[in-house]
Amino acid sequence: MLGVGTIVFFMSQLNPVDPTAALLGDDVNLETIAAKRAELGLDRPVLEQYFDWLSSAVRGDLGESWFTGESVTTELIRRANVTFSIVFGSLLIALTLGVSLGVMAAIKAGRWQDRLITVTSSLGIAVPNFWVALILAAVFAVKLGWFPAIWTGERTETLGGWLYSIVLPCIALGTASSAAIARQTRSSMIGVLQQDYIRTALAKGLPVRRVLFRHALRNAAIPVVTLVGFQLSALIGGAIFVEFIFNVPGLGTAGVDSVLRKNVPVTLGFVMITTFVVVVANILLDMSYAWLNPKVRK
Amino acid sequence: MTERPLLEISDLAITFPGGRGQWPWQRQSDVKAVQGASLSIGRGETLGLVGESGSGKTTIGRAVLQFIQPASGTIRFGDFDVTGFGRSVPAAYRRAVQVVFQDPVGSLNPSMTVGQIVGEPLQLHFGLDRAARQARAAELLISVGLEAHHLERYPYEFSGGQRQRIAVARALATEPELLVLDEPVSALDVSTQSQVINLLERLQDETGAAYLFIAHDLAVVRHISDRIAVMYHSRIVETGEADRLCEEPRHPYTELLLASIPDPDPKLQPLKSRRRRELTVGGELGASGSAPTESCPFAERCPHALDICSTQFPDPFPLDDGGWVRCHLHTSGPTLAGQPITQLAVV
Repeated sequence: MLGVGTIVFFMSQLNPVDPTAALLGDDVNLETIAAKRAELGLDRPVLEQYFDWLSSAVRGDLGESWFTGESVTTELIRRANVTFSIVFGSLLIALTLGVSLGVMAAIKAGRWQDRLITVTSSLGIAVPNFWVALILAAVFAVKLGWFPAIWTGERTETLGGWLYSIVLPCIALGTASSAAIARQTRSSMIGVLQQDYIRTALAKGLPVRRVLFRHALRNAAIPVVTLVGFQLSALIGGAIFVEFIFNVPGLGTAGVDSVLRKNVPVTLGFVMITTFVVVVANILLDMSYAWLNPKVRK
Repeated sequence: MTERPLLEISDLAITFPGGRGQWPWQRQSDVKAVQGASLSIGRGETLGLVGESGSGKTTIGRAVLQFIQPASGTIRFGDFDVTGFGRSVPAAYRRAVQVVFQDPVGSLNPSMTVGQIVGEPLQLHFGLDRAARQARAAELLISVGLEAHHLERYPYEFSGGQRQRIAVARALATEPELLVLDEPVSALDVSTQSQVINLLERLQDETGAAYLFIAHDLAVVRHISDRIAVMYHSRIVETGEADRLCEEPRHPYTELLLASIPDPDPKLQPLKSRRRRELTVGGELGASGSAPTESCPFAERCPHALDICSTQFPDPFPLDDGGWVRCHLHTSGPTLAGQPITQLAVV
């Protein structure tokens, strides 16, 4: 994480935009600019700025926004709640939909149900998520009016209202991942279902449902879990587009905006928070390997 | 063998749908895996089923286990009409018939401990609680020559022979009356093979279970079986007492199989190889393509083939030991009438 922070810190130094110009407008004199730079600490050597940022960052203080003066940590955590609700909501959709479709396709391998699921999932992977988002917004929000087309900030206090506001973004974001997970589940399930221990389990007289979920799915899940790890990073990236379309005040909008205006503390904070989540999620996934595959345990 | 046999298969036929042809709407003709197969196994008896790859021996085993539905014919097991089960197989039948597969790696679920693998059928069929399951599973492990502390381990921690012992312990957990052993030792070293074979024989004495022992190695099958059935390309061609069948084969294919077993005596082996070369007609390769329905499938490889062999598949000819042979040589041509095939000189 510190490595990522360091790289992004020095890369943001290469950004040619001068934040003070954006801050103060066009008709200012050089003294005002110099004063503002001194206030923000930009006149100090780069390395000093770096260590200053680093020492507060490890204590959880990501500094203040150069534009609003607000604490980056509080602001980004508020936005992170929104973004990660959407990301985990769509991951949940992707997992339930993807795994159940994949299992169904594997059971019916080679028949029309399998063909239908395979073709649909190919489409799902091919279609970009911002396009899905636009279509969903057009149909369910504009035409049918069931869900809000853009984030209004209303009704988000209650859990139900919160879910109601993030449903469309979640579906838009989760589609491609569902499709990818369905394909992976299908192929690894087909492999596992041909194993003799599945035949053995059936010969024991176990109910088919139990054979599928207890014996087959657990062994088929290993490559799926690996895929989920990759999908998570893709979902966080994809969230940026979806946030723009639904006008959601999430991390993505903040991050992109900060880069465009060279709001370095916010950029850094954005990177640190997303990195943190990805790292934690991957640790959890690694732990689930141990549960799924006893060979990894040592 | 006056009482009714435990397992009775009569006139069993199994076909698999053919694959796709050159175009998606074309279908290749169905594959006849098993035709007109009849055999029976008595209580506590071991029937060896031998044949080369693709002869249909495993398919018969799978049909007994109800993994595939036969096209015609009947399978009876005790009071069960196995072919009439349809989609739902009674739990009592699942308990009474168990299986050990060839591949000791693929047949044990890698994410379950040995205790879970052996204990699961106990929970399912006898409703034992956790402690009782553990105790019984430990007993089973000890009876197959493993130790109680192995219960906590995972399959990957064991060797091939040990895994096969676990598979046997798992199969015996339900106290089956029939054990289908589908090439249980072919994947093992020769030294381990004999250990597992001896184990299976000892367990049969203890439990009284009947075995359907499927293998391609006639030497191994002879050792463990009371009776043997020989399959060639979807047909059972000869059955009989194990020793009789191996000493005095009545079918030319049985003789070819026997001639393929290397003899440990260096003086006898050259004679044996010469006999095998004489018997080998139409190349060393086994049967391929779709099995013929009318003719004898062995005709093209048979050193004694008659004209009738390519037009008609022979009816069973009864033998003195209670078995039978399906070969025209016993009723026409040299008319062996139940004499051993080894008498015939190869022309």
